[in-house]
Amino acid sequence: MSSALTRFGRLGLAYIFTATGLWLLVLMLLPLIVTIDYAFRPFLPPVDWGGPNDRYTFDNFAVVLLNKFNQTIFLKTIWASVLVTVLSLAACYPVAYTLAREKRSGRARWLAIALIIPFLVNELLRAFAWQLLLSYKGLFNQVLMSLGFISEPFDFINKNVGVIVGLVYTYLLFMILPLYTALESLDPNLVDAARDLGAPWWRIHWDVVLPHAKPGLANGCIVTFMLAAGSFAVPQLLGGTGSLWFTQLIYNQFNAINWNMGAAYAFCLVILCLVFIVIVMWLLRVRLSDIAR
Amino acid sequence: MKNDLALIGVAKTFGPHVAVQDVSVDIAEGSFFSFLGPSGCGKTTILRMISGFIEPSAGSIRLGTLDLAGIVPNRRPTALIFQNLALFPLMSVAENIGYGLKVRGVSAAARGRKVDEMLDLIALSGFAGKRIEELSGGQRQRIAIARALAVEPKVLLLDEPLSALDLKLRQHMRAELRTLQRRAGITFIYITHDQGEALAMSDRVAVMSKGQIEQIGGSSDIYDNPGSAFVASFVGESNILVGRITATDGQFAVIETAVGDLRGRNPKHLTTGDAAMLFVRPERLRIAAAEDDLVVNSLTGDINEVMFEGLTFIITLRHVSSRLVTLSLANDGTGLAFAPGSRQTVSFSPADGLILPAGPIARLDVVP
Ligand SMILES: Nc1ncnc2c1ncn2[C@@H]1O[C@H](COP(=O)(O)OP(=O)(O)OP(=O)(O)O)[C@@H](O)[C@H]1O
Ligand SMILES: [Mg+2]
Repeated sequence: MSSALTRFGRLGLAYIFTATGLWLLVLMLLPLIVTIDYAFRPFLPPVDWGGPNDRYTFDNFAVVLLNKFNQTIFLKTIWASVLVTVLSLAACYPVAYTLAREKRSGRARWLAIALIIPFLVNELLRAFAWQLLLSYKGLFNQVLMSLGFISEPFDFINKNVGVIVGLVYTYLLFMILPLYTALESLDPNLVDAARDLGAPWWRIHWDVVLPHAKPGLANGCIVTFMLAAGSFAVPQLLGGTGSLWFTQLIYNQFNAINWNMGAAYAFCLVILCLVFIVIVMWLLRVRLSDIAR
Repeated sequence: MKNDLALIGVAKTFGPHVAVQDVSVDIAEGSFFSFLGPSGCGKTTILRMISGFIEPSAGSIRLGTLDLAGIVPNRRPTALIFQNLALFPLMSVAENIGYGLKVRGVSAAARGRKVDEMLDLIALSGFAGKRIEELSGGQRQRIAIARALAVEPKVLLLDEPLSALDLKLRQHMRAELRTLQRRAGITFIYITHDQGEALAMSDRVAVMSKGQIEQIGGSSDIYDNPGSAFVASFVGESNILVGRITATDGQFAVIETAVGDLRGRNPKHLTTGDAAMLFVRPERLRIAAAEDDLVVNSLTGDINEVMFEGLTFIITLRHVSSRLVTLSLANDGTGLAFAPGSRQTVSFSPADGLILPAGPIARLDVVP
């Protein structure tokens, strides 16, 4: 604290605290409070606002959670987001590990550049590109058919494949970067030491590398899950009509001017994400302070 | 014996850079062997080739009759102590020591017994549950050794393991390592750029320079009979005088130097006219008494500086030719009989002067 004082000065510190405070208040706390307030009120025409019917109620949540269709989509969003997180982890861990271990070689630099360049392109454009690749008469289907793996085109878009592939791809960097940061700080001698003591490669990862990377792993999983579950553009473009995403339900409600219902949907999503965070942190036995490192 | 380690013509190149070149050495089972050399001479590379982390570009490494080529590190009967120890920070002391056994599928009970036995060996019983960060440098050192010994390797490889410790602890650990090696009864291969460490602990020492072995021998052999200018200058302190041979007779020769004609041993049989260097250890020089009849190897000059180092006085003498000569006198408790600035004559016996072919040396303060 005193070192921060000498570094930033009294005014600087005051600015930092005010800015952070305002950020939290205006961009996080206020919208959340307003959302919660809306979520627990019924949808009424303006004349009834403040009237006897305008009271707190669970009715909206009853609709959100008890409706069969909503339940399916809610559960789909959960398992698909978990799947996206797991696939992303599986894809990113080897990449991040290679990057971290070869950080001094030129090869690693090219790999990093190759990873970042696609992300200079707008998220929507990338989703469109995937749509072209995965569409009914798209490149993937043509290649698979000409190779004889399938006899008729596979409906990637309506069978959730599109959304999942798209989400994994879109949020790849959010998994790679925290993993890389965590893995980069691992002393390579520890890996060699484990090898020298007779450990096969998978044991080295399980006993030495993963425990070290745990905070980054938790970080990457949580962020990827939240981004996936809260994504709108990707499911909209790659989901087709047969595979709705929970965010699309929220959007539909706001679009139909039923803000109260929309807020209830949104609130459920927030709770879902919080529950996921708690579960991941409990599974990996990490604390908030570890993740913020 | 059956677990002697042999390096036969081993070489390693990194691209155009030759890190190790034609290294051949036999290391007897159960001995304490050191590779001694300045930084960058290829010591770590040799150790990593023995442990299997890098494959030699040429030559072979054998343990007894077993050729180690192609055997990956996790299957080699060697264990490596890393320069920074590389203890697993997230595991306890017991988990560290037992790790090698755990990955071999040894049961928890057997592992526990071995860990206790190892902790006993390194005199740290009761430390099993401690975390690595709670230990002192010397304790970590011993844990690293215990972790390596727990898998019962045939050869233990140590890469400058004492370099991070302070002087006192380093000296203490020398003795301790030697004791541990005797008790474990296996081959220790020790790497260091500290000649004091190598000489104190080793049965045999290989002195290296630029990826090659300059000389292999016992500690006192290396110290008293260095085979090249590099070894003579790198191991221990020496006064080095450059010159030319002017006469030879039997085991001895006379070399003409900037401080006059000096007589010394001539083990390399140099002949008149050869460029040569004379090496004299500071402790072999003595201050001549007035009644001494000095015919050979005397140098007269003014005492330039006296440094007291406890065990010895380190005295530099400015020869009349303005060259500096260093000698050390044992501190026998009577103090020095002369003052800085006084004129003195020092001399050494021809048997204590060593004449070698002129060659690259490991220090810069040469007398031209
Ligand atoms: N992986 C590598 N790639 C390229 N050059 C290397 C590699 N490893 C070592 N070298 C080079 O080989 C030479 C010998 O290195 P090595 O690490 O064996 O020296 P060392 O004797 O252990 O030195 P130190 O006492 O400083 O540890 C050095 O010049 C080094 O730059
Ligand atoms: Mg080294």
